[in-house]
Amino acid sequence: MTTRTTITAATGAAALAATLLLSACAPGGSSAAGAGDPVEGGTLTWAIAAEPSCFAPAFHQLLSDRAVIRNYVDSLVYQEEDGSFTPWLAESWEVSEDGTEYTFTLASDVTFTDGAALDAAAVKTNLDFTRDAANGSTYAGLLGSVADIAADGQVLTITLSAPDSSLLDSLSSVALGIVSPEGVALGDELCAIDSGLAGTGPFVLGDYTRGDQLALTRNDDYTSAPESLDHGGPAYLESVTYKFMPEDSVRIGALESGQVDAISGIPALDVAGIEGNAELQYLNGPSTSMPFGFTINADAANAPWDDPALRQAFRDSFDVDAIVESVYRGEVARAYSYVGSDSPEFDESLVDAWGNNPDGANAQLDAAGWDERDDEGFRTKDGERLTLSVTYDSDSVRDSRDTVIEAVQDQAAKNVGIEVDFTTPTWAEVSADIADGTWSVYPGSFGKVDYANNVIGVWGGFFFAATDYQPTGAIDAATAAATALTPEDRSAALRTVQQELVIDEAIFVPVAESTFQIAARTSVGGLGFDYSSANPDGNYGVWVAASE
Amino acid sequence: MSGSSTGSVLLRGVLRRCAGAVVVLWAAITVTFVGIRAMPGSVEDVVLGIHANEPGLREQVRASLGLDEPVILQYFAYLGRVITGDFGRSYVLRADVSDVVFSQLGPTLQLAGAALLSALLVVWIVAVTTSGGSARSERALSLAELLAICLPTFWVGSLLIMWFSFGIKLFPASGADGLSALVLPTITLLLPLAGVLSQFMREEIGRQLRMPYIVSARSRGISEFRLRNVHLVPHAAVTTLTVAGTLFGSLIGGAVIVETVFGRPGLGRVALSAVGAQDTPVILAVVVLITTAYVVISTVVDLIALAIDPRLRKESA
Repeated sequence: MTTRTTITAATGAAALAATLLLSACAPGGSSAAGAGDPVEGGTLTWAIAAEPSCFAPAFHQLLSDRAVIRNYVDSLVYQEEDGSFTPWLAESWEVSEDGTEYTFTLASDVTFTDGAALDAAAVKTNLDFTRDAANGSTYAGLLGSVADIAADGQVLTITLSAPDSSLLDSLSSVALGIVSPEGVALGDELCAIDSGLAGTGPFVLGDYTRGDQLALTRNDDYTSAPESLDHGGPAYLESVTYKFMPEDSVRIGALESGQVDAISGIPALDVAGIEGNAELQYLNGPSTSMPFGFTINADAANAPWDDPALRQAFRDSFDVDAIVESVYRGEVARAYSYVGSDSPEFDESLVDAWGNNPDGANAQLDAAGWDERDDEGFRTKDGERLTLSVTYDSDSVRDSRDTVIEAVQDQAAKNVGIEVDFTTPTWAEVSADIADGTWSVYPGSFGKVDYANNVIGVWGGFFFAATDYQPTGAIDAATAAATALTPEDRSAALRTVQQELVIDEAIFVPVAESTFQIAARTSVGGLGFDYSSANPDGNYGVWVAASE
Repeated sequence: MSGSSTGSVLLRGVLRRCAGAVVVLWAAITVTFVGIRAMPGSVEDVVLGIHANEPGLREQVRASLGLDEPVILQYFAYLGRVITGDFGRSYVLRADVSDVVFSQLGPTLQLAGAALLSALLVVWIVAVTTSGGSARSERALSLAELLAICLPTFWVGSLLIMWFSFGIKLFPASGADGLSALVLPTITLLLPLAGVLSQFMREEIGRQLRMPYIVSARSRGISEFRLRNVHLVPHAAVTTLTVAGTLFGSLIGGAVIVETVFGRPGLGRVALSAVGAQDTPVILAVVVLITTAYVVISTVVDLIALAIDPRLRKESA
């Protein structure tokens, strides 16, 4: 069965690329309303933009899929809002002094909704499947540092080949959520809902109509809620339905007219209307995701942009604050780094360290020999115009990002004479250019990422895999961060990464903070975010007040 | 004309239509196969994603997808699989393509069928009641038809949702649950079709109204209702039905937009995302299915035309 294996392996990779590139959204302020005390029973209907193409944790594609999967899948550890970790399926854990051995003691008396018992062997089956590249999980890389996993009753021992400061972060995510071991053997057949996919979560998968909706029903035997929550036992809601509504305006209208109770994915320009509606509440998620920005190819294939001075000149040629403010009217914050500003890893020194400096940019461009102008006012050198090609796959363009890019285009032309050529081809086209190293600029956001490994995988492994140019400074620092033994060392290394990417090499130009949003009827209580993904959380703590 | 000769004429007509259908299907499969390979980017790049440059992986993927074979062999292998109903596995959905597309065929056919039938009904009523009216009413109707044809489907759909779903809350904004969820998408989809058909049918009825047989029928004292519905409609129906049959393809195209606006399940949405991700097996399967549906519909339309209009039977005999 080499054939099948390879297809799935490869699909996983495609899925990761899709995840990285299609995830995340954007906004700014935040408000929350309550619905009184939790109420037992009732049903809740969500409208979400994207239908998961796969329902198994190991193969889901989009970051937003995690909000759905979280309902039936628990993780070993729970990520708190401040980024720390508390017990979930693992009651406790110990880390060896050299940081290479993690010993987890799992909660006893937890069962999967198909009846199987949760023990260390079941967890080992899950993790071993995901980390074996031959199985094609999108998330094998999350367990790249794992050398061996041993199971003994409720005790799981993970031995690493090198310290991995991201391990708990990875284990807290939906991607490494634990499903019944019987299902694991099915591989990506588990993507289908009727395949026997079962977790230990507070809800159980129910009726599903592709292209329409998914129903979940309460797991009445649920006992394994994260320890730090003030709510134990089964969920409040009896059932939850997710409707798939790709059109933003339809989703919002459905909420306003009471056809659904909650929605996610709200364009920044619709926020004011929702906040002004007394029947609705709006919640903006934490800015812990990677911001939206431009990744620039620094290879000779993208000449003359292989010159860091030119990339810096482009970076400083426009006024990010003014552009973000005018497009999003205060609902989205301007970004400074490749790390979200609410993340503990965010490097404060990047604030106001770059951008909106046309004079400096003009001087740099003059010095680099681009000192002639053509009829249209663009800079030239030896008769060639200074052009930067921005290609954004059309499926990923959303939430006025095209308007932002056009504003950048306008300012770069007016302020310093750089021509920005903006096109929106298909993802197949963009990915082909990236695969052979001939891409120029890719605008995008990558969701809530593991900032250390993301640099290695995305800049090292994806954007610059086929180029002679390598962002070695950033990758070395990211490697140091990934293997750091203390949080201080990790933060210091990640500061270096941010300086390299944004300031020195200018291969990532941050534009706007990227967050996820929820809007709901005020009758809905307990809504919040899953801090491992910055996405809307599952519905464990959610309730609906008796009547509006 | 005896019954048996009518039967053999019909049989010959059916056989000829079926042979034509096979040729059309084959041509559609072939054009799509070539078209997908001419698209920028490659399937293996999509499949490989961020692992595009890992040593050896590309060759493995090409081999596993059969892309290392000569194109002509890939083509015949594909034809062979399609004939046996095997559309392969979707790279993106990680599911059997036949399962995916057949599960989505129903909602799309339901929508397209509802739009087609209600368009015919609307056009019948409009044409019968308004043909041969004053020049002023003719102009007004022509304008209405033009609007129905030209208004963007996306805009009409959004407007209908705004009024009838969010406004007076008469119909759901999305989904495919029951008849009420079908109403707004059907209206959105039928408008351009009805506009075109109405033009044909009213013109044909107007032409017939000036014919001598109508004058003689009127002189016999036949009621206007009977005159129009029994004498005129069958004449106009043949042209209208034939046009409707050929427009069925555009109905499926319109369904892509309607399904997205209304969040309805269906082939259109599946096809749209498959094209974006270059999910070749899904694209090919959708093309084969839509072509088949198109061929079946136009064959049925031709046969209905044979049944309505005796002259067609004579001509083909």
